[in-house]
Amino acid sequence: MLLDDLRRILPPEAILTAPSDLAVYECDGFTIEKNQPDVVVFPTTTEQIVHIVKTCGANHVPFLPRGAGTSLAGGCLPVGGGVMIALTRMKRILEINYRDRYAIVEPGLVNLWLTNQLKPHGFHYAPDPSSQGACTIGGNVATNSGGPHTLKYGVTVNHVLGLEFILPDGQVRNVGGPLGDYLGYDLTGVLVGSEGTLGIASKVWVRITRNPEAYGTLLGVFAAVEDATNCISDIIGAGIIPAALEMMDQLIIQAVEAAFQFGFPLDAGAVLIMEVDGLAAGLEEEVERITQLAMKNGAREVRRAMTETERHKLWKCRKQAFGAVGRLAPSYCTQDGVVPRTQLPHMLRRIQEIGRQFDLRIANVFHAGDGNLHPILLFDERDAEQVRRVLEASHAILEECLALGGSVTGEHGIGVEKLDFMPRMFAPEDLSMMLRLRKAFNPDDRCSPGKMFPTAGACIEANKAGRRAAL
Amino acid sequence: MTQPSSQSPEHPRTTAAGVEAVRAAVREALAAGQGIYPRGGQTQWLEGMLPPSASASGREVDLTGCCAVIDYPARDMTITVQAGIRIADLQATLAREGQWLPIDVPQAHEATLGGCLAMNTHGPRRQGYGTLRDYLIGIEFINDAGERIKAGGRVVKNVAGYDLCKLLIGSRGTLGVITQATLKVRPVPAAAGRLLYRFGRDQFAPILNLLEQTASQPASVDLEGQTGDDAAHLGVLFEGAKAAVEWQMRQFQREAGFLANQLIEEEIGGLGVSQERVDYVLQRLAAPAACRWQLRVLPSQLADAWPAAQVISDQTLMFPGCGWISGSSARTVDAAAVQNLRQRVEAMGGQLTVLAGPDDWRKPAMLWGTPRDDWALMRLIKQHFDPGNRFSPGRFFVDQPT
Repeated sequence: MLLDDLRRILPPEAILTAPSDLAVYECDGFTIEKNQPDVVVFPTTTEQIVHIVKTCGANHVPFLPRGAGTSLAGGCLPVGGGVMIALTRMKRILEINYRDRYAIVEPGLVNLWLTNQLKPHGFHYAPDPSSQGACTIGGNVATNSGGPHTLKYGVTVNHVLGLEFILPDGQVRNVGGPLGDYLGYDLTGVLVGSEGTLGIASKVWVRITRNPEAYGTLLGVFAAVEDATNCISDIIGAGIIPAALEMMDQLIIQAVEAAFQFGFPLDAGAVLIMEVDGLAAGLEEEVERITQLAMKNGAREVRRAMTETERHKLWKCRKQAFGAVGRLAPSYCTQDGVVPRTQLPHMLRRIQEIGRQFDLRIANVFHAGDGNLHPILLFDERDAEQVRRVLEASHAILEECLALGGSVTGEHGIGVEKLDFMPRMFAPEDLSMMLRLRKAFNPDDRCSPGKMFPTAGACIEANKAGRRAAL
Repeated sequence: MTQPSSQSPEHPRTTAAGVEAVRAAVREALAAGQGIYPRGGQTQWLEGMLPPSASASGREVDLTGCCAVIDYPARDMTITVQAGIRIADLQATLAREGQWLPIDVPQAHEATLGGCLAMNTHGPRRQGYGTLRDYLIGIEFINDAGERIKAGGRVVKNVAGYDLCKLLIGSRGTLGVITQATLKVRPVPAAAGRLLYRFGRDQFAPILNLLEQTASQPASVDLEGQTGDDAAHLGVLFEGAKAAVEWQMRQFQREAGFLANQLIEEEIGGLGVSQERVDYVLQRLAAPAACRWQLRVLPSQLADAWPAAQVISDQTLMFPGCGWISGSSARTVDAAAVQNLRQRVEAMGGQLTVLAGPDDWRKPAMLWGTPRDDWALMRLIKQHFDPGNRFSPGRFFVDQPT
């Protein structure tokens, strides 16, 4: 019935139903929980999405949107099955307006492709998550993605001006637009980061940013993690806003060096990538100040990327660090916690303790300037006992983030992974207010059920069962 | 930005000291079936407000006694304050740590943070620093059950749950009473520079071109015109590290060679140098006027919008980097002329809003123009957040939203 309806809307090559094909879509980067959708569809137009959504409504079947599936918290896990609407074939750039500094893109466009397109004109799209070579703009909108350069430039929501948005009942509305803010509620602001639970963005108006005139990219080498985190605190405290401030600890350095042979010192306790950008005038002074602060905090060496090639190589190492982690263990779980930046030294000590307590190796590569940690827990997913310890250690890390006044997610989202933490971060009345928003847009909870709120509806039990099955 | 006047609807007022007192006042009004109008410094009180007859019986809840600094971990560059804090007091607190909130607010000694959030207040530095949505990271408000609701948090990066902070910015008191906010703040720029030119009507187009092409990055650019004066003023402000400001001042003057002998002010120094011009502009934006309106269009459309805007204004301010023109008139202008301009602006995809005018302008079509496509979603949210239409009835939604 459902399939017949879908086949009337879509050509055969836009529908997947074979279990072997569906297996690809059973999870995202959070591999601890898995569930296959009943069908995956690949619309190419807004009208097709509207038809799909209405068909799901008529058949009482849940649905959820998916981009490239690079998310890390189970945001596109098809809890309870249903129809997965893969947007990867909607990948056109519809308009680029350099004069007025915006572009209109389809949601399946890969993040980096937009920047590559803008590059010859001296522009870029500022949000640059580490997965930018694969992740889609639509997925970035759903999770309000960050990236290394958000410290100065802000996250996705700061660069999205408007959306063409399809509500779960099939209504299509334009929200915001090229001017960004209009009279009334900032609907764009609340739809960005809603993790696909309020509807589906079918077009995105994004801000495009002029490339900086110059960069100063430094690599600070520290004997100990503690020195590196103190340095971060001093740079921020000195009133400098770097474009990026990223830390990698010894485990990561070793993995990255093995993968890319950049020349990282293998005995270093931690390295910091410290980048300032903007006008050439005044940049050298900032580079000098940062270098001094690094030396004051015990850096044994501060290297500077002297060419664009060197700079790119350094960033490649940083952005592909997660891939390099595959060299350290068969499986890994990337966590995403936030603490006030001054609490970083304490938090990193605590992560080390937690690693010892649960007998796990934990590597750290993260957006230090934002206080946004990404501890990577190394394990073997074939060993249920290790999986249990990974979950418990993750829990302990996030508990500590909360105890320090932070958040359990800075850029990956709640998804299904962190459902249990929502009641820890928010009071029941706070959650009920968020649920009112969900109810307004998604009254039947047909769109992305079982996400973000532990009390969102009947699908929770299915979710819990899924969790047990995965373990 | 309108002065409080006899047009203001008269409601009984409760002045509340502290969040619990605000909550008690809200609960009392809810129990009595009254509408609730959160009230700050009243500097923008009448903007978009309907005449008294359109507002049901209501109670003003005065938040100016709810103004404490809750937490200011300066090295984390965040601050948590109660919503009734005056903007000038907030900035003074931040200044003691060499920090600021780079949002320009007219009448900052009166205006409160909560009011600015509700109105999405901004000024000329919007070009360089963005708007309040770029700084608000956490919020607390009282909802229609009289509960204290929190969203966001106190760290600079956080995607847990829906970002209700965004929803409340610009909501004009229609979704709840904002009681507390957490902001990320920035270091005060070390240096600032100011250029002021006088230019003729025929130089308008080359100036817009220059502003698009310049290699400098102004924190703010304003063009100020007055009817009856063929010349207008161009103010350009730079902020940042000293070397960067100095270079930009030189660079801009090189690029503006055709204006070389029309430069009337050039100054470099501390933040005061740029603040002087910003204060002047803010004063113009808030000066008493019979009619006041503002429009937003894309930067490329300004060349068409500016002459059309001048026809109905005796004072016009343009912020080219933001696609924003503000106009005012000392005398009441013809409503049809405003609607004509609005039609042109809306045809460009822009928006014109009336901020002040005679009483008979106080109807939605005149104040806000044609509802955009997302207005239906705003109503949907209003219905779910405030089904009884208790928060600021008459603002945005004339009728009971059903």
